[in-house]
Amino acid sequence: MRKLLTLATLLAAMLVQGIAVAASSVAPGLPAPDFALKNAAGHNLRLSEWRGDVVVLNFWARSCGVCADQLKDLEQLQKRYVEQGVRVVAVNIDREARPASEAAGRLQLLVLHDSEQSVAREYELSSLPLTVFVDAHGKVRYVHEKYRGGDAALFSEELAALLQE
Amino acid sequence: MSMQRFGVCLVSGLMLAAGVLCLPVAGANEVATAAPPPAAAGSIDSEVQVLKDEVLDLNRELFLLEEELLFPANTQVAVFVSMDVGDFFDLDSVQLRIDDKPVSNYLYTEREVAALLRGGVHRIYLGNLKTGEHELTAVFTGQGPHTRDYRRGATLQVEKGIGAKFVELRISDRESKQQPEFLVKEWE
Repeated sequence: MRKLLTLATLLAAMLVQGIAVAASSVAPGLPAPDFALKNAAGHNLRLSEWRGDVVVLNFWARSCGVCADQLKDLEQLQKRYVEQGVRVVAVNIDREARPASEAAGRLQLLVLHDSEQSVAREYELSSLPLTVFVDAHGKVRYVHEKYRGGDAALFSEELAALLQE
Repeated sequence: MSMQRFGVCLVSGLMLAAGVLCLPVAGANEVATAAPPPAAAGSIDSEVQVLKDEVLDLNRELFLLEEELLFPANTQVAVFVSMDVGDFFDLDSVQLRIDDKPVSNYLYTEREVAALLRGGVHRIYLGNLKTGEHELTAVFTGQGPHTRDYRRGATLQVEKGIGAKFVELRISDRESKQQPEFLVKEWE
């Protein structure tokens, strides 16, 4: 009886909160999985500590050609919106540390290194690049796989919309 | 949690769910007719606020209920990290193994370390263990004296009986040796 009540309560709460039972844990509307990773300087940084800012998570690797182009576009986006509370976080998933440290020196972006690809797994990375927009409340809002010409304008529009909320 | 509270929880949950489901319909009717007068709008605001408060209360109850169900007291094991002084050790991460199986690997940010140094306690693991003997190993990494990389392990044999088990991983300074000290102890 108690279990039945519990189950019914949980279901009711899911309805109340509008939580859809989704197959994916990284989908618009769901909380972005929290993680901590090291930056090039060796400091640990945690996603949940940026609550209040709009965070653009971009997963990339050295072997991905289009990722380099996208990182340059994201750098521009970061420059444009930095004053308004946007953080672009480039998560490198190469095993070795060199690509991440080189990118950190070259780009004006926050570069984190996911050497064990544990965060990539949590974000269900299946192709590169993967870009996830996380709103100021820590929820996933947009998920973009791959990168095509014209996506920079779309990203800019989406960021502007998130900042206006 | 008593049956009565379960009942209240269930009823309020269903009522809230029904209320939320009805909201779009009510909203559509209002749009179709006319905008509500200011007094009615204020009343709707206060009702929405009450609804929000109820949802928050329900959420809190559910969180407690979830913990109670997932980690029943007779099998529950919780491991906490605390820090005292920290002059000889700059904490980077703690890796926790129970019976040689990794159960947690936590990286601490500067802010989290500062919170620990201010007396905060971090629950690094909450899980279930069968009754009997278990080995708990914690590996602390960070920077020791003279900013040298430092890695140290500490092990504790725990006897899990009936009732929850709480273990504290404590990092403190050993002034006499000018070294950090890592203690693993059970809370009585």
